[in-house]
Order: sequence, then structure tokens, then C-alpha cells
Amino acid sequence: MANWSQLPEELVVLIAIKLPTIEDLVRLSAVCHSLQSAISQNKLFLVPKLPWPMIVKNEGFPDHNFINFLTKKILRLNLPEVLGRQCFGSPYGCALGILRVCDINCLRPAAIEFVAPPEDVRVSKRIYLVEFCGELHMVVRRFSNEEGHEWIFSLHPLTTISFDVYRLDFRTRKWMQLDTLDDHALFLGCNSSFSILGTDFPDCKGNCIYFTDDCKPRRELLCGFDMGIFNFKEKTMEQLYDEFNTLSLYCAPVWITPTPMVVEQQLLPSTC
Amino acid sequence: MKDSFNPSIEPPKKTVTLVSSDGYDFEVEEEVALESQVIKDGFEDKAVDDREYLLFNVHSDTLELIIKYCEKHVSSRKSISAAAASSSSSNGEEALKEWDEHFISVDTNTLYDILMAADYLNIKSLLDLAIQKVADTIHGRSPEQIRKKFNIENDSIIDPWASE
Repeated sequence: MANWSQLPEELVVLIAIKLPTIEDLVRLSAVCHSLQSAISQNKLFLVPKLPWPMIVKNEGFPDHNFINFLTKKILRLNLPEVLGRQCFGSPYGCALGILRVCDINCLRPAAIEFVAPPEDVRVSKRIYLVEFCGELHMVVRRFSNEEGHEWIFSLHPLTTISFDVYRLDFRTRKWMQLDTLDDHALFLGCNSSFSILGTDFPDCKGNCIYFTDDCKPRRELLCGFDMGIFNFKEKTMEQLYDEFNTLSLYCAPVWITPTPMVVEQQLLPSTC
Repeated sequence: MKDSFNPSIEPPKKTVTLVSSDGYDFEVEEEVALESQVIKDGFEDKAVDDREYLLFNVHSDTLELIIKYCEKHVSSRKSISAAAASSSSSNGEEALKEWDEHFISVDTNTLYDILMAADYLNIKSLLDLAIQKVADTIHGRSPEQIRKKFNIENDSIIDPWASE
């Protein structure tokens, strides 16, 4: 009779690395003590997984929703330590239940000289800077309604219709428009924008842009509608998650890379 | 190594004998046995007339499956490279992938035996196949469902997803 709980640790490691989602890893570690010890001792939670957008429903409630858009499931965590705060920060190094939050009012960014974007880009509403291939890139997000300010009072304010990507040529100080992202997937949001290589993440689509709503938080404004995946090659749009739950009423969604390093306590909602 | 055992004129097929943990002899072609890195590594140290390997950790039921896998892969590799040499189109890779998928669709007890044997004999492609199958089986299941599927006893670990 096979005794899976006695599977050699090196084989557990090989299996755990192949699991597509962080939930699978957490669930496997909850099966028995020997699997849990193999997974935590080998620091398998540090194996990078796809980032999730974090949605804050309401100012007064400490419930935070993490959307896994691969499995189309929502993980609800009670995080009282971030109650009433606007969440920003790096998508890396944040652990479930140990979210690092910084007060943006404290930051005083120094002025930096920068290359002006091409003329026709300046009218656009959203511009992001993203690094990939060791080069600086500018991503321009275009909306269906670029004119006027009525969107503040509208329920469905702005709809993203397309993206353009430019690479900065540091030598000539010119922005060069790209027609492909190769195998890179760009993640855009209000906290930070970053790229990953599609080949490193079998479930991630390369040559795509994953974006969240990044409207500045206002009480009257429902954030969270405009999230999706833009296929840069086909120029097509796909929903990231299609429920009403994507509404982030209090602050714009934040990309979080789930890396729960300690499994026993931090993940238990009752002890949070 | 190849030069000393495979002179340009095709010799009669050399065979080696694999002995399972329960004492059954399996005579297989040399190149099939060499799919195992462990057998390959020990191959040169053995005298030519003493090509017998005692596999203490592999039961005859499992060994039969392992040999079937290795034979299929050796013959498929040959036909794929022959097709490539004559630049005729071939769906050999695709067909082999399908065969692999069918081969590894076994109950979890057999999967465990194949996984352990592939690890012990160091047959990388088979180990990868078995590992992927286990990961696919785990994917999307709750801890309780994983326990049931793999027949693992609940040693009263705290379930972080219990409140779901």
C-alpha cells in the first residue's frame, strides 16, 4: 500500500513546485504534518506565484479580498492592521496577513529630470513606467472617454480600450513604440507596475498586460470596475474577474504577490 | 562507451537482466535498460558477461510498467529521428505525449510505485511525468479531498481553510 505521507522530502519539493496556485500549496501543507514540514522547511512558499489584486471593500470593514483570477476565486482575509488605511506598496515581499503598508503622505520624492513623452501621448489619462529586459518602458493606457470630468459621478466611469508601449532609448532620449512585448506580461496598477516573464509562469499569458482600476480613491467613486487582461498581440480585451466583488470601494486594488512564509498562524482567519 | 559496444556493423541485440525485489528476472535490451541513469552509470563497471541488476526497491508489477515505458520511449525516439532525417512530417512527439498521458493515468497506489521507481532508477522523463500527474491530481482539491484521494491519515493538523 502506498504511503504518501512518507514520500521523500525531495519528491514533495518537486511536486509542490509544480502546483499552479498558492492555494494548492497551502492546502497540500494542511494535509498532514510531514507534508507541512517538508513544504515550510524548504521555503516553498517563496517560490513565486502569479500576483493577485487586493480589493478593499469598505473603509469600516477589515475584510480584504484577494482575487485569484486563474481559479476565479476570492480569498477573504480579515486584516485589522490595515483598517482605515490606504494601501500602497511593492507587490513583492508582502505576505498574506503580514501586509506592509506605508503612509504615502510621508514620502517626498525628489524631482528627477525626465524625457517628455511623445506629443500625442500627453493627452492620455494614465501613463505607467515599467522595467523589463533591463530597459525602461512607458505604457500608455487609453480610455473610451478621455474628455471631460463627468466620469466622477458616473457609475461606470472609464473603460480601457487599448495600450501602447514605448521603450526609452537612453542614448537618443527618444521613446520608441513597440509592437510586441515578446513573452513578457506587464502588471499595471496604482501601487506599482512590474513585469514577469510568461515562460516562468505556465499559467500566465505572455505578451499581455494585466491591469487594475487605479482611480484615485474618492467616496463618491466606485473603484474596481475597469480591470482586465489586454492581449497585446491580438489587441483584444479579457475580463480579469467578472463579479460585482471586484468593486474596491475604499481604495484602488493593489497587486500582491502571495508569499505566505509561515503557514501555521498567519493564515488562520480566526487568529488574525 | 558507444564505440566499444556498438561497432559499425550492427551486432545482435545485447540484453541485460533486471531482477525485481520479489525475485523475477526481466531480460531487456541494453538500450532500454540504459534509460535509467543509475544503470547507465554502473554499466561500464560491470563485466560484459555479468549484466544483471538487482533492483531491491522495485516490485515486479512496477518493473513491468517501467520497462514498457522505457521500450516505448526508445522506439519512439528512433522513429522521430528517422522521420526528421528523411525530413518527412511526423506527429511522433505529439503521439508520444498522448501515450505518456494514457500511461500515467493510473490509481494513486500505482502512481506512487512508479514515482518511487522512477526516482530510484533515475529516469528523468518518467519522474517528471509522475510528478506532474501528482501535482495535477492535487490541484483544486481541499486538504480533506487530498487525504481521501491519496489515502493519507489526518494527523489532526490545523486546517487553515476550514472556515471557507
